[in-house]
Amino acid sequence: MSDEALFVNDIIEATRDGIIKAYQCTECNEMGVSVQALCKQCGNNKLNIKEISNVGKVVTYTIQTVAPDPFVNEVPYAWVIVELEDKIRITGWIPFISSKEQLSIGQKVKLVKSYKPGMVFEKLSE
Amino acid sequence: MNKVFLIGAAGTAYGKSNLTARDLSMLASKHAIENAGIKPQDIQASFVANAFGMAEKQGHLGPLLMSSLGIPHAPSSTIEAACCSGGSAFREAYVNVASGFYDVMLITGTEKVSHLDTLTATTYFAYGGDYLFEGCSGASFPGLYAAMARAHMHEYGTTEEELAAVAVKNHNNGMFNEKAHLQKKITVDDVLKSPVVADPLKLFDACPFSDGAAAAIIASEEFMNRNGLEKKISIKGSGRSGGSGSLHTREDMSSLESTIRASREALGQAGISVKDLDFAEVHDCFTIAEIIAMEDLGIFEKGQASKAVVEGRTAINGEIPINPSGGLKSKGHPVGATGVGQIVEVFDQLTGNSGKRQVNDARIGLTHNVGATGGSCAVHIFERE
Repeated sequence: MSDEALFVNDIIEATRDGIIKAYQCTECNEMGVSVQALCKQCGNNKLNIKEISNVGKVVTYTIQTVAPDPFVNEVPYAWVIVELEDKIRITGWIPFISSKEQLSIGQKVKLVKSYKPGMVFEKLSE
Repeated sequence: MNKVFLIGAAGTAYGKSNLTARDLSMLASKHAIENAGIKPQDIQASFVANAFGMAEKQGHLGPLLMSSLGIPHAPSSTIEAACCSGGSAFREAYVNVASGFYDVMLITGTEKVSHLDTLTATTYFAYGGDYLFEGCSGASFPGLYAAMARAHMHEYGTTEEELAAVAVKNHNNGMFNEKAHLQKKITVDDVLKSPVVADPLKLFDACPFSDGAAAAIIASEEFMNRNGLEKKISIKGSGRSGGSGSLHTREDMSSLESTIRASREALGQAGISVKDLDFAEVHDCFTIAEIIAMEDLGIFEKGQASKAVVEGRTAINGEIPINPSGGLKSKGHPVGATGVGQIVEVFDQLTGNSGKRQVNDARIGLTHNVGATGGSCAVHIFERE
């Protein structure tokens, strides 16, 4: 499967152990963490699947006080978009963050696990 | 491509309805047929825009609607592009008529959500984004726009007070729209003190969950000539673009690339610039969405739109009225109907039937409809003949 495509469950299952799986194009080396069959950059149909760094910085975030179905009992929490060290952006959440002051754009974070089935990040000190 | 005319358009009131999406679609279509001055048998095909039909345990709405209109032979398919279902359905119908394949098409958007509890409705809306990654990591639909709002505030210094001014302006307009869902004057303070949904967005930054339907009929020039119909409004441009369906993968969180592409396509076809517009109906599912829309459309420079709203430049009597109908914010947001409903407003404005919210001497109007966080965008430009 590894040179075929990156599937939903490949990504989600790896995050259970704090691991992030990315695709990398065998032609142009473009990388991403997204459900992908063809390279976004060059259209090549051969992608390698590899593990990448699970550390990055917060690009933007919100504090969810009203949540969709699986997260009703988790509010408030932060939903975040993170740019990983490889410049790839992914999404996740940080439990127990209840105000915007507890987080900031640029905050260093790390993926620790998945839960329900979202990707759980934690704040790192600089 | 052949010239295409908008010949009829009508909508139901938006809000909480006891009717089904099927009933609502029938009502809007009936009124559109009446004000187009054609017979139902003139309609050769239809698209229905509907996002949450399964919430009423009803898919495949098209044939049921056609039967209700007495034209069961007319083919009808549902087009779903989340909140851009209506604009997308209109675009596909336009392509069919402009290419000469059909002469007359009906586009009907409809939605019924008020029977759902807030949690279920919130979850359904989240399905329109990249649910498996964004929704399943806890993002509600307002959460996605809240993340865009924070990025915009960080980049351009946009304030919560400025966002609130969008809601105040749209509620002012909606006061003059008897079909609007929320006909209530509000203040900046009301917005700022409303409950936080997803910081920095509050309840009054968000459009309501609405029921409602809207319908439009378009026809070829040949059909108009053959039947001696008066040409009132022509479609000058039709723009449609996709964008990444995942907000989190984008480079720029404070802009929708699909709006930029769709609007440039439509403006190019029309051969005009945004300065030529007399008004626009833009997709303000949240206050921040109207700010981003005006900037991506090119009406204001990046970072300047919120200031323009505060200065009253986008009010009905301002230099470029935005959302004279009240927008999604006040008029309401029956998802599948929304994009078609914007076209109903353009029809009313360009035929001088907008009452107290009439834009003075409206000649050219634009509609801008977005699906989810910009995975889909449709832009149309109309001109009074």
